[in-house]
Amino acid sequence: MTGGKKRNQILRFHLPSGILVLYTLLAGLPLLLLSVQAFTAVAGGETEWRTLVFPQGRRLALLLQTLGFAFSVAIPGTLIGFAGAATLRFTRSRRIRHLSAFLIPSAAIPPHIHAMAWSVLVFWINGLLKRSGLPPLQDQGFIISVWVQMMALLPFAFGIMLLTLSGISNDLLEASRVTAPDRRTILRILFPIALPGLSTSFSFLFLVSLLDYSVPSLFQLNLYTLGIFSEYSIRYDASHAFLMSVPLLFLSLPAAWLLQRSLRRLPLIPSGSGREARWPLRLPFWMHGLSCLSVLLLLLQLLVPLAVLAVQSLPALSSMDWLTDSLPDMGISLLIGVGTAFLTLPFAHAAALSIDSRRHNRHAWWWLVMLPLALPAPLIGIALIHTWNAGAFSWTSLYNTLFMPILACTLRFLPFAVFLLLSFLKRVDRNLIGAALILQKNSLHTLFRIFLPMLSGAYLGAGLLVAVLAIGELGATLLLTPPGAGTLTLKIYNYLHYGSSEAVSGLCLLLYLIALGIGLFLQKTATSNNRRPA
Amino acid sequence: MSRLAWRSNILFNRFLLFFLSMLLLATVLSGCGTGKSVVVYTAVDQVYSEQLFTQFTQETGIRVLPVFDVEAAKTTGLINRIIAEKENPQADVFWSNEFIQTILLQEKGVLAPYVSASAKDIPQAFKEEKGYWTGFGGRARVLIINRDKLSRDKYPTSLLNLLDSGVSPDQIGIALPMFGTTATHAAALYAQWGPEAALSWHGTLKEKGVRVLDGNSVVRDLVASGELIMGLTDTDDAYGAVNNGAPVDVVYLDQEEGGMGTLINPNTAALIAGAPHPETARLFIDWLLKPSTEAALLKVGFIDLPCRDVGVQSLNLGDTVVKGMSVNLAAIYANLEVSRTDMTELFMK
Repeated sequence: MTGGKKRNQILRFHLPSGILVLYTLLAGLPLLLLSVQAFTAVAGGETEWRTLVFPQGRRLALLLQTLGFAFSVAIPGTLIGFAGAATLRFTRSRRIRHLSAFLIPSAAIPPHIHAMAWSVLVFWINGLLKRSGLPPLQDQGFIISVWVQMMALLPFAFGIMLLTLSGISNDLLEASRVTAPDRRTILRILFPIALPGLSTSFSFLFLVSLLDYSVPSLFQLNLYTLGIFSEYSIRYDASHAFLMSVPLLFLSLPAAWLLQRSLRRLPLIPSGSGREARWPLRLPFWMHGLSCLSVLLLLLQLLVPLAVLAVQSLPALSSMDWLTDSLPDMGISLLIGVGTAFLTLPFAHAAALSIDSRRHNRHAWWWLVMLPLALPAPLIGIALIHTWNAGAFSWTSLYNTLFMPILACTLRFLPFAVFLLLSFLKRVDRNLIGAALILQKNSLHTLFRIFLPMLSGAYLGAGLLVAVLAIGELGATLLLTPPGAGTLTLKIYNYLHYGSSEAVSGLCLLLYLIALGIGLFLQKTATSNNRRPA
Repeated sequence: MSRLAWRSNILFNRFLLFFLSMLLLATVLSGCGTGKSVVVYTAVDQVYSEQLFTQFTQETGIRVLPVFDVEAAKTTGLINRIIAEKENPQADVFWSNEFIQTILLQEKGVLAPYVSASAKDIPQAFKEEKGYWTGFGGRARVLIINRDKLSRDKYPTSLLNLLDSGVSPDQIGIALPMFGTTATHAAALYAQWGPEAALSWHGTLKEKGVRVLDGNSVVRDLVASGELIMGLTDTDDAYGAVNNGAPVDVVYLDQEEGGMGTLINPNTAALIAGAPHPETARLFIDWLLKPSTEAALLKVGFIDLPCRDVGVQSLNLGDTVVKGMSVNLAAIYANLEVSRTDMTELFMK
């Protein structure tokens, strides 16, 4: 083998594999240690393990309620995401299309803030209804929990569906429209092609709702995850909590499997053929209604938190102490966000390449990347403490540095970055790569002059997305931020407890505006990426 | 220039410029520092504790590196962290806004004994006999009532007549009794009334439809906004609403002649076993337990009930005397596991 070929082999196969082995150590080892701890406890005489792993009575009822909640959020959320994304994708109105720039900022708003905003709105509405002698809206329980959770996750559903629909060729649709009415085109062509996207969106929303109790607990809906927390608070035994999480893993792992399977089947095509439709789709009445409703819901999702935050933060403008006090926290948050983006991108790049390849181990990489998505954030935090503070990696002295929250966020949000990169990777014109491979000096030449430039928009998007998500993270960050280094999200939750709703609103508004700036920057970059040079 | 090279130049430059400027901005904003330091893990509200940390640094030159807890994590994030860090402790001091979690840490073998000279005038009832922790300035369990929604003559006076004021039970709130000070309160009632009576009382609340909320601050916020008429919470939460101008009154229950009194929850300070900075940790504990520090906490309104005479009146209480429950802290802790298990069975449905 010549030196050039060897270098190519190293760059194309060995380097991504090396990066992924490193990721396996970082992500897999903590989780493996936690599993070993649990099995050791069982072997050492933990007698309760059967009742923990196979819940009965109250725990079973709680698990079923959690399952019902996750389905209730995921099904309508996905349908609304589909209808809304179809409108954003096929509309000729630029104003409506610009709504997509707001998806990333609204995804960055912590779910607690959505809950706070909707709670305030329902309270106002109930006041009006009461004065009019009408029955009030339900302000606690199942329905409002489902509603708020769905609203908090709607940007993700829209984003996933928009990405899916933007990969469907207009030529394909227009060919079908010549021979059949638009209704049939949508039902017989668009819908089946978008099925993997629907399945991706459904499994993602289902997974998040299954594992996150924060919004339901605010509206008095008990979920199994809160039960784990409650029982954990009785004995503070990580292996007990892990065993109690097993029934949830039985539900979340199939959802993660569905997610990875759907992601692989997304209808993504080379970007060149995704040009604008020649004429707008004519929808039947009911479909038009659904699509209008979806866009309305997206607007509500964007405007309700923004309006409530703006109104509530007005009194805070008289004194800006809350802002100056929060500058160090803002700095730490930015460091964590940027650090997460930098750490995530090489892993995401290697994972996306491996998954996109035809090698046999691609399924294993899928699972490895998706697994942290099926685990509650505090469990990831505790597993990392056990590994990095006194475990296998304590010699690195990286514990008690910002590397820890960055690592936790990387593990939590890597699937999002991989998803985004993979979707763009599938659109890369293979002929360009083929031509480059023939004429390249070496693999680095192709990587830096052809491959990365073509994917730079995707890297930018993936980096910004994980940065925004990392800035809003709480569950693992709380356990891993080094002493003296609070984040903006922790500050928001602290103010929330103190009752300083003006400062909370002000900080959330700030967070929203930062994320909005990032979203607009991303959209502008994406637009300029599509513009040809003179 | 080819299209790809053009993209390469523009996008990579933007990409790098953006991230590097963010990194620079973040570094400038976050700041850095060196010198002597002490790592304090605290469940006390950041708004209050930060003022004291600044004061400590000004007086001693020792930098405080705090880690705060949040109610959204049921104020158990730090406990999880301290227990998980047991093999290689990172904290020097644990300063808690209550005592249950501190005793739990003692049982887990995470604390080291330290008898501070500043604690000599603190009553023995507030101190662990071997010095594993020391209690000081307390908060009380109170009923917060929206005075626009209920006339004063209907205010309940005891936990036992909480549901007899004519207020619909779904207009009364409590926090989930498996977490935080509400769990401590449940354990205290187990110790005071006995497990059967305490469980039955909680069962009645559940059965009648009292609203069980995510935390004490949520109870306060809903009463302050008028969504609820009254609810059980802690004094720091309740007076927070009073000081923000909300139309609420704070009622100390069971204060009548022969009444059991209300739960008083002291702050606790403890040294972590194997603390990385033991000297500064001891200095910080000495400083925290000084009467002047307790007076400062009274002045800002975080605590209302000093454990000794500190020469300052409570910001919120003035010269009002509050009767506390007679049951001791160890007895409350002894009832915690059974009460938490019962509460989980009762409320997690």
